[in-house]
Amino acid sequence: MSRRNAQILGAALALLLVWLVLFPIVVVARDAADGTALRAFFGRGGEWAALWASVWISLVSVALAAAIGVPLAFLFEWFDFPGRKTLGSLVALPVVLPPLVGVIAFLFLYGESGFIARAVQRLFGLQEAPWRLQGPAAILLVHAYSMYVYFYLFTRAGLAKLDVSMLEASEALGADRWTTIRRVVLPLVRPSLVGAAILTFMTSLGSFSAPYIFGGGFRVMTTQIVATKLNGDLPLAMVETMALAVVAVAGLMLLRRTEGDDILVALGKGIAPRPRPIRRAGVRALATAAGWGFAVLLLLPHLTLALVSLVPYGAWTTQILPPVLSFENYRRLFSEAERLRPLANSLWMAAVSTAIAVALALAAGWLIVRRRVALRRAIEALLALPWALPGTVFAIALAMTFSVHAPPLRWVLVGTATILPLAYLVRALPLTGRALLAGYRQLDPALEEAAASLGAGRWRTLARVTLPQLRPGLAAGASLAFVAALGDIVASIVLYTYETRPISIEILSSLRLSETGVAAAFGVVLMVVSALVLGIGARR
Amino acid sequence: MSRPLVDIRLDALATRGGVPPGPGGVTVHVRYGEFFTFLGPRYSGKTDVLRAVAGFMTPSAGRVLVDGQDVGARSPGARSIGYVFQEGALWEHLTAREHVAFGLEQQGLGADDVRRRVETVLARLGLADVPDRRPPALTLEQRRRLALARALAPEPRVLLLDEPLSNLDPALRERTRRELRQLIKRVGITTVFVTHEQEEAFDLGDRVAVLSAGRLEQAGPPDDLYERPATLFVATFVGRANVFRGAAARALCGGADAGDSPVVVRPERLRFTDAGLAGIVRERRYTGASAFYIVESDGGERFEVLAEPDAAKVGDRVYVQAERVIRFTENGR
Repeated sequence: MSRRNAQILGAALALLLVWLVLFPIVVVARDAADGTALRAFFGRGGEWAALWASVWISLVSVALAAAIGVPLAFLFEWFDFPGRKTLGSLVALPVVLPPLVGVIAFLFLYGESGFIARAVQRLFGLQEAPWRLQGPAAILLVHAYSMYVYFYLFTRAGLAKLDVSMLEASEALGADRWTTIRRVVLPLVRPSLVGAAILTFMTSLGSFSAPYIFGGGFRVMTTQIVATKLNGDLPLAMVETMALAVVAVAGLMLLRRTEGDDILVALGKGIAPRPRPIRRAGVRALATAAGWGFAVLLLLPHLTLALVSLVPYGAWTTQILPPVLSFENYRRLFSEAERLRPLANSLWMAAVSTAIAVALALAAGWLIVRRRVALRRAIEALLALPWALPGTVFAIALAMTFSVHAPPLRWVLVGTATILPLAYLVRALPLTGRALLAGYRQLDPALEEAAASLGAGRWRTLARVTLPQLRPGLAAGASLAFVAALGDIVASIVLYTYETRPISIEILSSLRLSETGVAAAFGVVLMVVSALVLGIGARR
Repeated sequence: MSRPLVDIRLDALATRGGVPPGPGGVTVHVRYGEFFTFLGPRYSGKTDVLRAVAGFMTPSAGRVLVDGQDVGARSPGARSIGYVFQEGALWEHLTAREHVAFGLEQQGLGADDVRRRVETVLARLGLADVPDRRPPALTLEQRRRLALARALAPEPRVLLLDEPLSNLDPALRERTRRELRQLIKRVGITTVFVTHEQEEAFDLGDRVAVLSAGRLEQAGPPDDLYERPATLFVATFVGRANVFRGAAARALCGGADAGDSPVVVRPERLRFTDAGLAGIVRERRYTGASAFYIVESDGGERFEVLAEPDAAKVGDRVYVQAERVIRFTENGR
């Protein structure tokens, strides 16, 4: 392809991305410039409280996740004890729980009518449930459970890249273990820690399920926005959306600065320290017991979900454990057309949005890395933009932009089957974009040139050489995008219609009808599909 | 395999966009069936020349003629070239057999023909026992041969090699070099080879072209480059060389006035005698069969003399004469 054609394609892709990810935000920003709504926003204490709640919940979530994830990473990377390998992978299990599913599992487990509360109530002969799982503490509990994994995985990856000789150099100079960790190890893994902190902060700021289910009277910005929109006060919802967007971008920029300008490159042979066996029998037993105990704690939500999904409707009243178990809920889920629909909806919408996101990312990777088109920086930034803003912001932005008929930029898509896949696509772009750009950058151009010199055309080279080489990154990006779309609630709750309702919406309405068994069965299906897809995506 | 031999002419070839400065106006003629080597330091533009011949890079000026025809407008796949990349550029997801078959399939051969020719090529390159292994499961040596097999299988008219031996350790390299040369001579194919190592260039190339900063310094047989370098750069880049100027140069030229232009003398062309350029032995580097003596002349110039291991001791006062000097004009040309 000629240089000019590549430039034209690059410009076309940039324009498409501007329309998809930037234009809706601009529409919201313009609509938010409304005197009455601005006055209402700045005048009401509740708005400021919700904004502040979003910020502090996110900061505390980062601290909690780090407090759990970082020590665990050191334990599993540096020490050897029975069951280390198995436990090490079990510890990452919260990842396979989509946000809403994790939240309902917590509800069934620790909620006022959950297993634990029932047990305590029975044990002490209490009249009422011993606690209510509500407010900031409940939200933070769920966040800590689901987000420590980021710190755990990032820190382990950082530690694995450390060269043992760097630690030995410190020890040879007389430093003890703690000094070595403080002066050598932590500075070297800082990029990993900052990366995890950014991810946790952004996820927590955009978190919707936990505040929605457990918030009660306690509002954070995401739930506040959705509530305002449901109340029909659109201009105020726009102002709130922009406020959340501004906080997100400011937070991202502040956290980025702590990353520092220095790029730390691990010198040396890159041989990570071998895990040391814990020698003292007592300590080893303690570590093993703590490890397994922790694993059980992590697995409890999954087990709870599975158990509740086997309880038929109305069969479980006051007992600690359900008296009857059956596959009734699954039978209904797969035999009733109305229950099968959300499953089918979620699957096809996730598949379509992922496929398009992969195709766009592939084109972007080729144009940016191989053809180095003039607009390459713009394309890369546009692909990453949806990651910098909470999902609620985009959901509202798309809802506003595509509820007006003003071609060529705006059509009425809200209420059609197009809008949810479009919303999932926007959220998927940063995931596939980052994975494929990284893949393309690591791909030696000589591999493609070798095919070209042997007479292979562009498409054959793509199919036989480029795609197989990009497969790991492609699979990782696509599986993350697919799982995110499959379990999405943030965009779905704003944009769904009855016909296109996805699984998460069906779970919420089942809960509302007290059909906990069906909700749990949907949760299990979502969890299993997510785990399978992530497992396939992680295969090398 | 018998295919018509072709020649390659580079006519004032220049490129932009690779590693700067890139070749600027390189003209050489690679003859029928010749093993031609481009030798140069890093950033001399030697790889860009090869990539322009292959068609991976569009020349900013000049032409590439293969068999008398300008191939500038042809895509890499339509030039009938075999290209061996520096790191091999093997595809980790394909087996050895699939690598070799790749180019043959592009020619539209039937499955049976492809299979037969793949077997032949694998056998010829000593890969017959490992046809179903993928590159990560092959040894470094097998990978190198697979890269060559893949390039040769479609029977190209021209073979282009970009430092294919650079990642081998020195002991293996010498043996591999010999095998490579034998194989290519047996196949009988016009070959262009790029390297930054003088020893490799001399050992392999029928003729060698020396590039520096994108400019062609000299092209010719190895002996010519060594004994009759055209420029000071060639003299110092190709082999060890002492450069003398001023009084020392005059002393070595037997008093003949050399002006201010530099004079180059190879270490083995200097001899200890009882008269000539005077100096003191500062260092002795013993190599076994002989020794290098670093001599500092009274004028403060340091130079190397290659002589018998017992020819002098550190601290000795010595006199040096040149058996053969290479003179240059003032600007080193």
